[in-house]
Amino acid sequence: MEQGFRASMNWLHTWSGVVLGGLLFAIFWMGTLAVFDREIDRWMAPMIRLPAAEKTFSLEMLRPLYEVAAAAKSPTFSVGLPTDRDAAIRVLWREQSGPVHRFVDPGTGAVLPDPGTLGGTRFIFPFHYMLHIRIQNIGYWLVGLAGMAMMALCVSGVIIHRKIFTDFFTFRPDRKPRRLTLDLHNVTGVLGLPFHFLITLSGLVIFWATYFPSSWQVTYNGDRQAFFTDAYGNVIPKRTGEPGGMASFDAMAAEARRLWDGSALRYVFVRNPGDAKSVMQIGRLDEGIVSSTYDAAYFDGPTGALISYRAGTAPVMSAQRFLSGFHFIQFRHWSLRWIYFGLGLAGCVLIATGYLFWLESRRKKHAQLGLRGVRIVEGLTIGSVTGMLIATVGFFVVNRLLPLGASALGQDRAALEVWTFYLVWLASFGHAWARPQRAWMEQCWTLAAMASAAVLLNWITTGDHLLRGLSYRHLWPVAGMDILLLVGAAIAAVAALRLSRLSRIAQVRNA
Amino acid sequence: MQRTLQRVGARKAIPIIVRLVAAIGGGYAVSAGLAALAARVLPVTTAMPAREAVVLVSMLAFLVYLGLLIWGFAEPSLARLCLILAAVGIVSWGGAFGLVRLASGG
Repeated sequence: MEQGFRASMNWLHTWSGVVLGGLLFAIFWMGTLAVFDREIDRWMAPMIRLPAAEKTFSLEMLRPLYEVAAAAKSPTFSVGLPTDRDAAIRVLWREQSGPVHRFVDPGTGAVLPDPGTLGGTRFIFPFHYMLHIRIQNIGYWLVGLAGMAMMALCVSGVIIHRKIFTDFFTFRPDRKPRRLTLDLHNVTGVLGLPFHFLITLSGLVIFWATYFPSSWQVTYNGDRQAFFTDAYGNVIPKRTGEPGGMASFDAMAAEARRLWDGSALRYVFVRNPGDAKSVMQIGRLDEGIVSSTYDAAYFDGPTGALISYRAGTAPVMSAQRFLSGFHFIQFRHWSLRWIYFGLGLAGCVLIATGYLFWLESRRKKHAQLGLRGVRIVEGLTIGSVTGMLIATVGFFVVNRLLPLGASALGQDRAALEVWTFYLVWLASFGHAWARPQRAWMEQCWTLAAMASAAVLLNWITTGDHLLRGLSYRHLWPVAGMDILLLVGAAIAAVAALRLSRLSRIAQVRNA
Repeated sequence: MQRTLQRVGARKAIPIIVRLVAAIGGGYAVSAGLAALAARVLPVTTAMPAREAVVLVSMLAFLVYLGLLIWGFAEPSLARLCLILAAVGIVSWGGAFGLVRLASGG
């Protein structure tokens, strides 16, 4: 341990960054993409590239699916209603074989073919907060640890930073690479500091009940459901086993809208479908405020009678809902959405340049002392940064290559996409450790090639090329993703070119 | 040279491991204990309903934990760090469970 406050903070900053930076980069990168998760869905599942429904539709069109869920004795039946970003209705229930997800076209009521992908909302977004590690909630706890480390990094970073005001205006791209990476680290760190601190804190606060269960355990005798019933007013009926009907969906929806002065609806959720004690929960959509409200109305399923409803929340819970809403960005504001995306990318640059600075300041010393630290951390950095980007783009490419209904080795199409992601990511680490001299450049070239291929494959398989995408409002998300992929490809190609020039200069010098 | 480095490394490693466990594990245990105690105390001493107190202390616990993490790595005396964390941990968890038993009449 180092002596002195600033020195100890320097130690904390350095080592928590080196140890957890790879995990943090993955979380930041996936979170940045999750800002546009529904747009990614539209790109990856061409059947939901629908124009926004022109007229209001009848929820009764979902009754056939509801009957299927009821016959399968699914514990729940959940319907996500269209929003500005999402034209299709999303339906989810559970069968013996597992969860069933369906998209429904609100214009025609037709059930759309299974896209065979987890897309942005079911792969990228959950990866961001639980890494798809479900055993014992380990994924949540790893993300929580990384989140606490990020806040500690923010605090220790400010403390070790001597000239925070001067460096705010300092960027010296013409200087040595080490100076440049530190400047870039400082610029993204200082400019993004309020955002990075708050986005991390709010992300942790969303899962407060998971991370600090002690508080509700001692007040509610360890009964999680008792707490949530008290705090959120949830109505959770016990299944009777007797069959029961379901009143008119539209009548209940109309009643819910009336309760909230004509506000739009976000979801419809049935507990115990098909049972005599089924309860229909209808949630309110409020895209005009930051806070992620949980206003809901509860109806008795068979009779359609209103059981209870809530509007507005108590002060502390409102603060929690505000922080959650600040993180979830479900409000309707495109410029803010892009700012979130940009600041998320700044966070990725911050983490990557932190690694580069660590490497550049130790490279010579480690070579003299014969230490392997630089080589190990460099492989970790390459795999975590360019490897993660390649794996993500590989996920998009394979999505456009696999035909609908494809399966191999007992894995369905969606699982094959996920396998591709992880195998490509793993391979990038192997490549980075096997060829440390050339890995950065080669992975940049791979990234550029694959990102361009993704755009080309989208054109070939769906016909929605960039110009077509730009000329229809409902294809803007597709065009936007194509543009970002092309910009990413260009940046990767420029980086690869520069790296190859540098390595040629080095070769000439060494010769 | 290599061997001296290794021996110095081993002597340095143990305090670092102790500090990591104290700051990360101990810091978490103390913040969770303080949250539990405050969640029991606040509804009794103020007009705040229990459900609100639970959410409030859990959100604040993240900041308490952050403070403990920073202090855990800044405190020069490892012994003092461990002692204070252990003391606060015992008092907070003991207090919280004591209040639970008191309320259930046991």
